[in-house]
Amino acid sequence: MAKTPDRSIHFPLSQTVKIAILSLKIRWQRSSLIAISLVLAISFFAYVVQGIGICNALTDSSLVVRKYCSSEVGKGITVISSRQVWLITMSLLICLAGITNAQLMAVTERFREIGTFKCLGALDRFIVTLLVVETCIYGLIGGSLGGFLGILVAILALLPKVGIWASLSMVLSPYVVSMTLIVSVLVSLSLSLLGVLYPALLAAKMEPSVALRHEE
Amino acid sequence: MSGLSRYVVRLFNVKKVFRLGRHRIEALRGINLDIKEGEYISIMGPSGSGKTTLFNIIGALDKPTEGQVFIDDVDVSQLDAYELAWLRCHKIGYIFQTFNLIQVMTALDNVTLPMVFAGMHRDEYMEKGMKLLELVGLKDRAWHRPLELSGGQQQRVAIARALANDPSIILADEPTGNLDLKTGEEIIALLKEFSQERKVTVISATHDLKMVAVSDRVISIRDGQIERIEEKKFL
Repeated sequence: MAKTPDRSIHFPLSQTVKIAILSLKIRWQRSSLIAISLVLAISFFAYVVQGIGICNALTDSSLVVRKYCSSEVGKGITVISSRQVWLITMSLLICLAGITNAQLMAVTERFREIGTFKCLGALDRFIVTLLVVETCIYGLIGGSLGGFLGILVAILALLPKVGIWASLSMVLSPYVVSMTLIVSVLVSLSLSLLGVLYPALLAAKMEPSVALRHEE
Repeated sequence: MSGLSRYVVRLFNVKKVFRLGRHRIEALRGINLDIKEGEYISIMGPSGSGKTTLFNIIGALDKPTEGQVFIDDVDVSQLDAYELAWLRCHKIGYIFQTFNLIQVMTALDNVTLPMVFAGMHRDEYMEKGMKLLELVGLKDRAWHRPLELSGGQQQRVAIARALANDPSIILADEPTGNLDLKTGEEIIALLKEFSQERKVTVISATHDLKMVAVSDRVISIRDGQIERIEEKKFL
């Protein structure tokens, strides 16, 4: 008596990205809050990472930055202290908790929407992909803005110690700056993805009847 | 098999039990029901009688604790998540009291969404989406978002969306519940028209007597059981 239907459920990634961008736009207040918390955490991280890059440059005589500062500069600068590691870890963990909380609330608000998607034929993986794409957008924005902010603050903090030319040479050092930016974006993306993992799985596994019962 | 294929929905001794902490709530207590192709069915009953649970089980949105549900001869309890998604996408169109349109998408995007899931090409689904919106009288509102539409217009979009993949069943949960009298009548007329023209089976959970008036059968539910089934000629 039982028949098995043909397996054919599709949803192009381009459509998922379109829905994700529209969702972020319409929920811009919550989106901004998550992005700001990422920017702040990542800027602190980038500040420290850039600081390490600067310290390495100051202690490496082969680098161009040495031309602009006296041999005394850089002495006594520790590459990274255990206190800084502790502070970075704590700031990233707090940011992760914040993102998870915000995403959990965002997903709870959208239970009915998720239920509707499922009624129309969405698979669990579509729900996860949609939330992951949204989160990657936060991650990219938060990571790049935070990275730039951190680098800027690190260079400004360096100004009184090494002078304008050495500071500028850091700005113009594409390796240190680009590495800091890349690491910042990667950390931001990882944080965002870790933060959305639980809410996304919770939403995807929810029975449509339960999701639809949820009040908006 | 040929005799059975006349039925789009068959329920055999369907029971549904919810557990809330220590409490065991029997929402459905052995429902047996056969629904023929093209029938217009109203499910009535007081709040908490099991209407919505039955609606969810017929719509493959929930699984029964006991019993079997066949939709177009397919045993729903045997389907995996992928096949259930396919069934919801291709065989069933849903209409809700609260419309449940995706707020970030335009009316046209909402209507075409099930067709995108079904794997249609863009040109094909855009053309069909526009035709469906024209059918419900909303062609000129295709690019409007749900918040820019009235309740009646949103429900019309929901009807167009429900028809997107030419389903054999339309499940409507209190479709006129959030609409004024006149708009409610228009929605009922629209559903009746589609039921007759397209041979779509319409199953509606409702309190609306106007909905009952156009039904082929009215199923009354009380305490999770079918209290009575009334044919149109006796209504």
